[in-house]
Amino acid sequence: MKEINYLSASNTEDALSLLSGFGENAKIIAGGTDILVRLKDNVIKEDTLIDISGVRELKGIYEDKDIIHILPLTTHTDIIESPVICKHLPILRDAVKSIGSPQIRNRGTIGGNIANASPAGDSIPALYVLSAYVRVKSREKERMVSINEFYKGPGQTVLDSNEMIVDIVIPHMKEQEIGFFRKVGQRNAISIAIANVAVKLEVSGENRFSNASVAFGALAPTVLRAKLIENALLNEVCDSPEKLLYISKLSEREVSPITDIRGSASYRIEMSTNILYEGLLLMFLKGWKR
Amino acid sequence: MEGFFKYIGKSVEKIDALALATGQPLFTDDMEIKNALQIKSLYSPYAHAIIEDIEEEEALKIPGVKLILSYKNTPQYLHTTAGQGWPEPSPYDTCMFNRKVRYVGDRVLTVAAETEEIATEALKHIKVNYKILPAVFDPEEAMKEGAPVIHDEEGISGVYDARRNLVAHIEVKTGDIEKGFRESDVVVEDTFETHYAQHCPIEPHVTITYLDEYGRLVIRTSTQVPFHVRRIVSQVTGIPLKDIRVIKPRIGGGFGVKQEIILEEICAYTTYLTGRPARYLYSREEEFISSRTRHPMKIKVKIGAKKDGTFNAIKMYALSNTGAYGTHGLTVASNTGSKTLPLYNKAENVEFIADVVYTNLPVAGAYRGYGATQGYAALEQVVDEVAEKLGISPIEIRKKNHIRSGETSPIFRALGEGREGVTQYIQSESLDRLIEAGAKEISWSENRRKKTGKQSKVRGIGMAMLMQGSGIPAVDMGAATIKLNEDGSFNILYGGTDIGTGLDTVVAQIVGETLGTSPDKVIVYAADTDITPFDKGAYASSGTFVSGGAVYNAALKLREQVFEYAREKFNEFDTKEFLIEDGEVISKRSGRRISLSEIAYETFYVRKHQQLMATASFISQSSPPPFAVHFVEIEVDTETGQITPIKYVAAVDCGIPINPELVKGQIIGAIVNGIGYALTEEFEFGKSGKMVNPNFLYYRIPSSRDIPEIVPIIIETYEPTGAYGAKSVAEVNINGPIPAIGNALYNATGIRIHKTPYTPEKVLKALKDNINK
Repeated sequence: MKEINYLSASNTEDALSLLSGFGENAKIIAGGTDILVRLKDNVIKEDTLIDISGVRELKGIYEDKDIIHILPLTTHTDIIESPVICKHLPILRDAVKSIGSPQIRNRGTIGGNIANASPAGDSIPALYVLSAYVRVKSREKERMVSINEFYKGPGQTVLDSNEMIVDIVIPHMKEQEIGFFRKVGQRNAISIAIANVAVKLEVSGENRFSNASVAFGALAPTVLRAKLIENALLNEVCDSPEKLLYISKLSEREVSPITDIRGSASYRIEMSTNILYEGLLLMFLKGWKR
Repeated sequence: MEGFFKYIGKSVEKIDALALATGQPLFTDDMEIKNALQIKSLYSPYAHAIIEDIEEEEALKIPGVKLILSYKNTPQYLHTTAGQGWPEPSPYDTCMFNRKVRYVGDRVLTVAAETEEIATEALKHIKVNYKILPAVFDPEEAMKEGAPVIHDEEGISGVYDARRNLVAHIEVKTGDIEKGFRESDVVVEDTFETHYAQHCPIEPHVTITYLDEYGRLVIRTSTQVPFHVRRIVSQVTGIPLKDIRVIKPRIGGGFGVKQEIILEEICAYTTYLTGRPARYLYSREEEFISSRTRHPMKIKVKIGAKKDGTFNAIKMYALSNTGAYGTHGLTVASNTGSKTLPLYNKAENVEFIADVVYTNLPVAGAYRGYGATQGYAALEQVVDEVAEKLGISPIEIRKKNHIRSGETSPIFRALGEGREGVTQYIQSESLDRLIEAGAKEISWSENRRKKTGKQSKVRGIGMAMLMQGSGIPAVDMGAATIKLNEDGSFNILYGGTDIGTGLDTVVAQIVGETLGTSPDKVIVYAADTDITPFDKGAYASSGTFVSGGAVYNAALKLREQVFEYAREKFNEFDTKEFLIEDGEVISKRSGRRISLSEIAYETFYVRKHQQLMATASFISQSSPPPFAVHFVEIEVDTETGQITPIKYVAAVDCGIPINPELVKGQIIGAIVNGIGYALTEEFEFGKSGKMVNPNFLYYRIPSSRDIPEIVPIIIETYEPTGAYGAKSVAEVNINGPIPAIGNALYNATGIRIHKTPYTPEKVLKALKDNINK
């Protein structure tokens, strides 16, 4: 393990000024669930860590009318245990529940999961379909970025070296909105996704939807919005398992996975269809109700 | 046996539980030794190569680098790393360091330095020039003419045919196999392949060595075989045996991987050359790439049966891949036949053939189950196939064919541990009861091929019948010494090796029962080659049976001495009606009594003036098999291919369970171990033969959420050759998950997968192929 410069920030301003001072040589550490492992493996290129885990103002969940703010240092456990999230963002709750192990969920933060930009990051597809925005800030400026535009590639985000995430903004799911998150891993805990999917649908009539969002993880270089499937869900009357299977099979035309140690590309493509189909079918059997 | 014994059959608290739970410094690496040199190793990046030169000058210039060891400056004694009884049935085919490297991960050299950081840094400054040789990874290819010869060195011994990479060839026949098949009404043949796996003890290999005040070499090490470590370190390094003391502290799991001498000799030699203490600790990655694994096998089983289900002929062929070195190669393959075929002794015509082959892949060694696991993976699935073909239930066909009390099998004699075995008759067995109890618990008749309400999920139930052994008969010995103290407590000194199993507690119970003393007054000191008598160590399911047997014999001898003293004191004619209980010797005839404490005081200070103590050994002429019948209900997700075990039932006969809680721990532990092997654990190799997933993220041992409800059912029998009727329990239960889950998968879906593990990807593919058929 290489020697590394460790700095601790006490508030947001402090963190931002350290960040602008060290620039590309610095990396932010919050929960450390990923960085500490990578540090041991000597794959961290930066030589300075800026620890923001003590910045209290960046932790917590609050509601502002029908908008939910999740501050970046909120841990996965905080999210799972939040009644607000349970009520208004169940898709995110299910996604976060599938992350790692209790220890990882106790330490790991939502901001870290977003900034880490793993194509298999479990919270990200859920944030996609929930139309989340990420507020990022540097010493000079502040901007809102749609989660859909946040990623440039695996491990790459639009964050500049002097910027950090200060807020995650998500609208409530509406009364008539339903959805789910599903994941296939290689065991039931501490497992990185072979494939995952998040779906949100706005029910407008019998077996009909006025809005559909579908996002796949681990099936392309970044999380992927499945536009063909979304269009099909909007235009079809989803009144039979056969139709749902037909729609789910469109995933084969959307995803572009790789073969790696977790699974082959062909297995992943099949999984993209199957987890989507299973999830849609369950909702169909429940009468498209939450 | 309820009410019959006072301390046997009771779940006495594990004697080391409190110390372990409170984090006392019990393990090898918990002891920090000042000035210890830290050892790090360099491994071969090639699967097969000759080391032409090692450029180490740069590294030696780094301040803090003390010693670099390689083939260039170490004794070239051919030996085996297998910690087995002498003479070892494994080939002598390796040196401390070899000039030829034979797999990716073969150790090239070690650096000893003042700190781990310096040692690691030094490794980067060493250049090794290799002459790369063609490698062979497939055992079938390795046996062919023209394949690269992996062991072409001078002087190796114990190898069947080195030019064909054939470590061992076994052939055992009874009856007339072809006639047996001809006279059968149905004949079924099928082939199954099992895969590489690692033991994954939570504590990896670690050794600390130092010279004591008198200049003797102390080896404190995480081992299963302290006495074999002493012998083999002496053999390999040339350090006289009398100058070596091996101490086994608490051990964080072994499962067979610590029946190997792979760190001790280098650590000891480093201390020997430098006079400095040394510490050698494997990382998890090293544990995967360079310690030991399970022999992958390809096993073909052919069974011929009569219409009524009686087996007429069984033929088994095992092709075992031992990797780059032949440690345990012959004996593991022997056990593939000897621990499975006697279970079906109704077949009079039996043939077992095995080939054990070198390849340029990681070294296989001893692993819980020891070949039987691989054998049962195939045999128990073929038994189900025969049953199906005959239209008989899997339960009935097993009931019809299994071995029974009073019976024997010619295989026992024909096939031993690398040589002929011993004739033995089964003296404790209750397989029918195991089958019935297990079937009832899993609701066999109601649950076979039950549809679930859930769309894509189907359920099935499968079973498997199993046996193992208890120690290696007529080979492996254990010994113990016991002495009486003034407060009526006892010191027990024995060579038995508790590696987390609870053997020390079992031993305290045996002493307590025999000498009428609460087990908390038995002070157990174990496995220190200077202080305790010899014991072969912890392997072959021998702890309770062999080591416990030695302790029992020693306790009986001491009891005779205690009774004799009391007889003189009571002035009685004989000791026939003497009892020993609650720390007192009582004559039922006269009603006189004397406490053990009084006896100790008197014999120490007043009369007789002697230490009451006894030493005894134990060797068994048989290896009484524990039996188990497993049932599992699984749910198969036909959309993802994932198998989820729902409920696992293991009905087990291990004789009298001396400590039922510890027995349950062994049963559940072995099943979890086996489920991981069956479903998720797998070595993935790159094209160069490199293992590419050497960590717990990608080598997937089960997490607590992957484990179903496991119901152990202990059915007591009494084994007359074991102390208090006990047999072994450590290994037998790892043999069940592959065939039981395989049979359940067939029950649920109609598919059989012939290559483990049953990963979702394979299951899904098989399901699709089945539909397309």
